[in-house]
Amino acid sequence: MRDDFQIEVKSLKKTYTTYQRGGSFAEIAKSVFARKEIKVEALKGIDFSVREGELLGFLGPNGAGKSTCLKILTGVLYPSSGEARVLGFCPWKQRKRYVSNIGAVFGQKSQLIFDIPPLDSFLMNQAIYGVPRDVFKARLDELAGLLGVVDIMGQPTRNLSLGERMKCEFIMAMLHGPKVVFLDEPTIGLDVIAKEKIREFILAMNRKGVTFILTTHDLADVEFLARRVIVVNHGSIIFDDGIEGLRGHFGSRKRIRLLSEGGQDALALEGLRATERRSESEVFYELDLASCPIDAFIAKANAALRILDISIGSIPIEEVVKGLYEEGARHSAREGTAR
Amino acid sequence: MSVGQIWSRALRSSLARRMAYRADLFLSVAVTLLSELVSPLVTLLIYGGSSGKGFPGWGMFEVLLVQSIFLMSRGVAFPLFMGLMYGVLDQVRSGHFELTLLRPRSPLLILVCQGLDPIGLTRLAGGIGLFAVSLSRLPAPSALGWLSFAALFAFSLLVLFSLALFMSGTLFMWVGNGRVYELLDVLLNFAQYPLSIFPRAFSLAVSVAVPIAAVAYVPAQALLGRLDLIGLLAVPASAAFFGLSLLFWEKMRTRYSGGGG
Amino acid sequence: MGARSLATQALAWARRQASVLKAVAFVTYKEWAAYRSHMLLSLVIGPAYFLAQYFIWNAVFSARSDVGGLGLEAMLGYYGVATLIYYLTMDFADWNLQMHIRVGSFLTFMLRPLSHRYFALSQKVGHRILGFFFELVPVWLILAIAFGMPLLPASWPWAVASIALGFLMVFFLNYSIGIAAFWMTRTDGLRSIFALFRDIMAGAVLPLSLFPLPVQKVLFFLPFQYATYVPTRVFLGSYELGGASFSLPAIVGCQAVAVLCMWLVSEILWRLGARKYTGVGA
Repeated sequence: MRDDFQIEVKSLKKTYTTYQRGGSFAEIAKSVFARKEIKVEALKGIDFSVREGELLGFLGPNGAGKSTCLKILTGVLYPSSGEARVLGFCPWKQRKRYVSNIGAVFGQKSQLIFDIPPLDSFLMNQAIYGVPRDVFKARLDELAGLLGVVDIMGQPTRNLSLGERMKCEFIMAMLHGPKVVFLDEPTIGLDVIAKEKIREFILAMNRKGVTFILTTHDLADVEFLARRVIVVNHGSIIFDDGIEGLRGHFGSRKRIRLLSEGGQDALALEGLRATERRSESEVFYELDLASCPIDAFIAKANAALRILDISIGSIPIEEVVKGLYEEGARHSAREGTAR
Repeated sequence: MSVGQIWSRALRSSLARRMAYRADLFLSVAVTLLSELVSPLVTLLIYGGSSGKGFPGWGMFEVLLVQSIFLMSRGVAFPLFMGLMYGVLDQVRSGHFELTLLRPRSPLLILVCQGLDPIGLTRLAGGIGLFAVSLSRLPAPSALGWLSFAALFAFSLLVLFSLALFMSGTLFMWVGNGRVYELLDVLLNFAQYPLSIFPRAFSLAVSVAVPIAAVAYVPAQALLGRLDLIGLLAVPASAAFFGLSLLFWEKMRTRYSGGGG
Repeated sequence: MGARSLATQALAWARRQASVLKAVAFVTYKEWAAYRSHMLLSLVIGPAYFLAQYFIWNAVFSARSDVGGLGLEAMLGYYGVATLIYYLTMDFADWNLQMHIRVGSFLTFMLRPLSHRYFALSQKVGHRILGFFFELVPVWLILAIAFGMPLLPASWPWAVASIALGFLMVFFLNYSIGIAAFWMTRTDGLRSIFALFRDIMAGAVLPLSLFPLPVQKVLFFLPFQYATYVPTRVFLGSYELGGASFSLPAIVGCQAVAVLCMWLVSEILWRLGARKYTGVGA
């Protein structure tokens, strides 16, 4: 394992055992005495590395294996085989010493205690992590100020909104000054303003050198925050590149909406494909820039039509990711057939 | 869909749920029976000493008869309707009671059906076993004794249902209070022993005010041919107790404030 | 220098553990203070259970003077003390641990640099401090005033030591059962059967000296008696089981060894269970 990587993962595998119980009453009754064991390969041997200060987006459809990977890297789960080193530690073998150096926010699992104010939970964590009093105070003031929760920290957690609670979860995760922070769907269920606040906070912390590993289904989180994206599907990594690489994965394409006076049948170009016809005069296209650069398209359209309105934009990242998921699913199905 | 159909569907789903976790199923069957045998065990240990003496005026098998009827009564009540308590506890705490109220059926019927738990039948099996053993060592009851017992057993179940209604009714106000089971247990603790061990005023209280004597003691007295005034008073008291419990439950239900979760 | 450095490290470690215990216990105290009305139910439940025992044993002793070597006063004293000790030593560590594993929130404990077992023990300290004020003290007063039984230990130091060890024994027993949740999805049946045997074999249902002699001899070697029977007898001033009598220091010494063994059992089960943890539900 190399020293210049903060996180190194090699051939990480995790297989779960579950049981088939059946759907009908007879099958369920039979399963009391004899049940079929099913092995689920959550991770099929993944490899990746992360440098200090990276902000990595970890994507994948439900059941892809990203949460399993995160739980192994946080020391919560033991892998079936493979290696991982984070900050020089083996997470699952050196858990207690290791977790003092990391933070984690699991969007659907709270560390706050429901009936008492977050401040009490922070003080408890101070003792657990052994944070000196002056350091704790300074850090709490900074984090609470950044997240705008100074006035609500003293109220019982149950009285706070989801957004306020999530901000307090971030404080819980970062009060001990971790070098690496794992985020599992941190903005789930939050409103637009709360999401923006949390994204700005993550960026601010990342600028200070904290490494973030973020799993999310909200691709706006990825677009705003991540500079590098790993996509996992069926337990394998199917994409690992920068955010720009993700956008251009299926080639450079643009989405165009064209509103003209009269029909647009005359507009035919190599690389131009109509995706939706709202009417004869309002059509949506997809343009492959490799076949037809944007200036050539504009010139051709202007010559062929009287343009009333035009809007040109990138392919939404959701479609790129969806395409990746589907590509991964087809690949996995082929592998299954070949076996 | 008729009540019977709802009930049988609910029973099937309860069985399927239980069978999904087989180790827990086997252990639950064992513990349900064993836990109920504690009081008979205490009785055996009390009477089993050298003197063979226990409660004045009561032989060992007479006391075991009371405890076996207690077991049989719980063995019918718990599978059938005591699950109502957990249903209210869980649904009010989580806010899911609203979903029950949205259905075009009595919420009480839905909660009772959702609370069906056939595992509790092991109590009934154990109770019947103990009942048979105790009765075999006692003078055979008369035909009238058997008839009275059958009628009084129905009132025994009625009292248990009333207690379930009272306890679950409190949960609309006292949200999430799991200790309601301890309250029920402590009340029913007094139902397992002959009334003669209690002072007169206390005996009257547990026969008329809160007629827990009707759960086991009164039906046992019918079989032993010793039904007295207190025993007879327990019958109208049980009916009145049931009426009060229904009113209480409905009143408490209207205080459900929703939310939770 | 080596020994001094070791001593310094040990002291620093102990200070850190004490600080964690204090912080977690305090937070738990505050958390459960919100549910003190639930705790106050013990003022009804505890005395009501005792009342049933009071009637039962008064009836039994009306015809005889001795049951299993105990007279009426000793019998009632046993149940009274056992009730009070329950309020100092009870916990639901088994339910708590299996619940966290089942719903997935156990994950949040694995993310912190402390053992969940120590965290749970610290929580118990906080919870029982609350129980001392809202359960033990009021029930003690009820027993003293309503039943004329002001129960005080025969020897304060040995009673306190034995109750403290009973506190730990109950915790390790319950926690070990909670660990089963790493292997079983539902542990209700297992926990119930364990609780039943534990309560009977601990002497919570009946003084162990009432069981037949051969059974008493087996019970002596099981850990359960150290949860309730031993602290209760130490409180009352004499210990006897299986035909053998022990002095208070001797039986408290045995209790300490038993607690250590139970800690070891929980440690082994924990290490085996943590490997099996699947994080399902999180």
